[in-house]
Amino acid sequence: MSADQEFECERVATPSEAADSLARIAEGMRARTLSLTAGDEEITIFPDGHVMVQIGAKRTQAKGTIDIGVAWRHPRV
Amino acid sequence: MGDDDATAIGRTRFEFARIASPDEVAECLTSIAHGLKRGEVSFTSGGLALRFAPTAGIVVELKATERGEQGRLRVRIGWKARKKDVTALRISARSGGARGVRSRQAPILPSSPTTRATRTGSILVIEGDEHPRRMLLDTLAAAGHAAVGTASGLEGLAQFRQGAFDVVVTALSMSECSGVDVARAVKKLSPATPVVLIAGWGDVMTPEQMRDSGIDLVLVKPFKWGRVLSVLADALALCQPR
Repeated sequence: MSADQEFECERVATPSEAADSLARIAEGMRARTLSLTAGDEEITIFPDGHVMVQIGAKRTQAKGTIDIGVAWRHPRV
Repeated sequence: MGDDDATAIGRTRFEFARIASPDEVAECLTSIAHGLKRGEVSFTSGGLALRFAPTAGIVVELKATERGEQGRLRVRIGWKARKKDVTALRISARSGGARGVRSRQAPILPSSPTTRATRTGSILVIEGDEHPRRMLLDTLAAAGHAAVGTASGLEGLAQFRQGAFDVVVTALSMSECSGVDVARAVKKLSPATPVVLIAGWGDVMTPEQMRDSGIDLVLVKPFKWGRVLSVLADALALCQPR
């Protein structure tokens, strides 16, 4: 596996744009390879095998959040 | 999403955790994406539904890491609700009526799985770290369970041999005797006793590994009381009444 990599980005979007981002991430999960790019930053991740998925959603009267976390361990070769 | 072992739903929150394949994760993401396009994302569990209607001005945060043998991806979608549409506000006045303001309350959803009345039981908690052990014992005691805690796997197995416990909750990483060793030993002594494994974020076990080790359910750290009680209720539902 490649060297340690970290990527972080944040952007304001419409519901439709947020949906497109999730759909592209879903495509990457299916392909077991997902590249994320923001400006100069870029990461390629390789989710494979069994993954731990956590989804949390909460709302108050004023705001809401949907949190999706996915973690995986690469099999030892 | 929904009706899985580690699902909790309430009037304002939904939590779900499980081990899945990347294809299943992709399906979840696609389903949320369709909801966003439609203007309503729904999460369901046990006949309850929690609906979200994200508005414009969504903030999407992405965090991804690949470190050694482990990888993580976190997607956070946040939004602020719009102020109520002024055209929907209706003001009327009439003379001679009762004074004061009456408001129509939002419909209340049926009680969630986390607040439902559940069977209580005797629980053995084996956790090497004092803080999470204390948190688990306090949460279980507050919910009416008889909970006993030990700080090591060997001590926990000694307690298990002496007492009659409905469920064993054990941490994964412990010196001398790991959570997997505890689960195997418990199943040898009492095959019908459910074992809940406390796993850290990123501790991934396959369903086959879980089955072979005698682990029935997984409780992922960090703990939230609702999830702790929900997983315990599921574990108690698995065990035979003594």
